[in-house]
Amino acid sequence: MEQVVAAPFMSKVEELADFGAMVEQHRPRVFRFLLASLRDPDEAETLTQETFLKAYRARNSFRGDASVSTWLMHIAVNCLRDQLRNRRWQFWRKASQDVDAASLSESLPARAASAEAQMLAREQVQEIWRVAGELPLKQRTVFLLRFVEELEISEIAAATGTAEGTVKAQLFEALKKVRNQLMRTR
Amino acid sequence: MKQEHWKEQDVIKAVAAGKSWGQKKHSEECVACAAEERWLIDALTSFRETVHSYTAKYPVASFVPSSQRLQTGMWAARIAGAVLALLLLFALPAYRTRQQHARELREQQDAQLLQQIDDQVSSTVPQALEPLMNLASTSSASGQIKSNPTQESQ
Repeated sequence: MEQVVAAPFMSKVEELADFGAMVEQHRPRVFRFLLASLRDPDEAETLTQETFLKAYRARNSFRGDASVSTWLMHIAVNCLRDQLRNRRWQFWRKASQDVDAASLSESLPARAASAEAQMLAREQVQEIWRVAGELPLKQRTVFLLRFVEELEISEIAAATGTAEGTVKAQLFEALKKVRNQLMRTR
Repeated sequence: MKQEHWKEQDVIKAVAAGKSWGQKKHSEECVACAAEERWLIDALTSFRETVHSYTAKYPVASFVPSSQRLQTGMWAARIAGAVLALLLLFALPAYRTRQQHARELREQQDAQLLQQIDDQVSSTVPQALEPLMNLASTSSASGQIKSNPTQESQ
C-alpha cells in the first residue's frame, strides 16, 4: 500500500518550496486517479500536467488548510470535471484507446492461493472496472478516492468540495452498485 | 442476546465508511457476516492493487513549468505571426489598389484643371469680357462701313 506522507517536521507550506520534489512525490497518485477516472492514458497524462501547472501557479496562495495531497486532489478533481464537460463536444475522440477491463485485470498481482482463486479475483476486478466506468461522475470520483487512493471521508469531502454526509451517501450508492454486480458473478 | 445477521446495507456501510462499535462486535462474533464483509473487501483490495500495478507501468513524464510557459509563449508568438501574415496577405493588395485609384483620380482632376487653364489661356479675351468683345466687334464692323466714305472723301 502506497503512502503519500510529507517529510517529518516539514510544514505543509514548506512542502511546496521544492516544487520538483513535491511533483515527484505526488504525481503517481494524481496520474492514477485521473487514469482510473478517464481511462485514456494520454488524456490522463495531459490532465496530470495541467493539475501540476495549476498547482504551480497557485502555490503562493496555498495556506496549508488541507494537506498538499488533498489540495492536489482538489485541483485534479476540478480539472477532471472540466475535461469531461469538454468531452461531450469531442465527437471525434476515439474510445478505442481507453483501457479495457481485460487488459487492466492482467496487472492483478499474483497473491491468490490457487489458479482458480486468481481467475475469480481477475473476474471481480473486471466487473468492478466496468461498473465504476458506468457510475455517475460524483459517485465514481468518491469511489476511486476511497477504494483506490484510500482517502478518509474527510479528505474526500475536502478534495471534492462536498459535505461528508454527501460523500458517504455517494459512496454508499456507488458501492451498492458494485456489490450488486459482483453478487451476480458470485 | 443474539443479534440478527447484517442486511445488505449494513455490509455496504461497514465497508464504505467503517463500522460502529456494535457492528465491530457483531463481526467478531458472527462468522457469516464477517465472511460477507471480507468477501467485498477482498474484491476491492484486488481492484486497488490491480489499478496501482497497471498505472505503475506508465513512464513518469517530467514536469518543468518554466519550459511549458515558454512553450505557451512561443505558441502565442506563432499565432500572432500567422495573424500578421494573413493581414499582410489580404490588406496589402487592397491598400495598393486603393492608392492606385486615388492616384488615377488625382491625375484625372489635374488633367481637367490643365485643360481648363489651356482653354482660358488660348482664348483672346477673358470669358467675362466676351459680350463686350462681341459688342466691340459689331461696332467696329459698322465703323468700318461708315469710315469708308470718309476714306473716299479724303
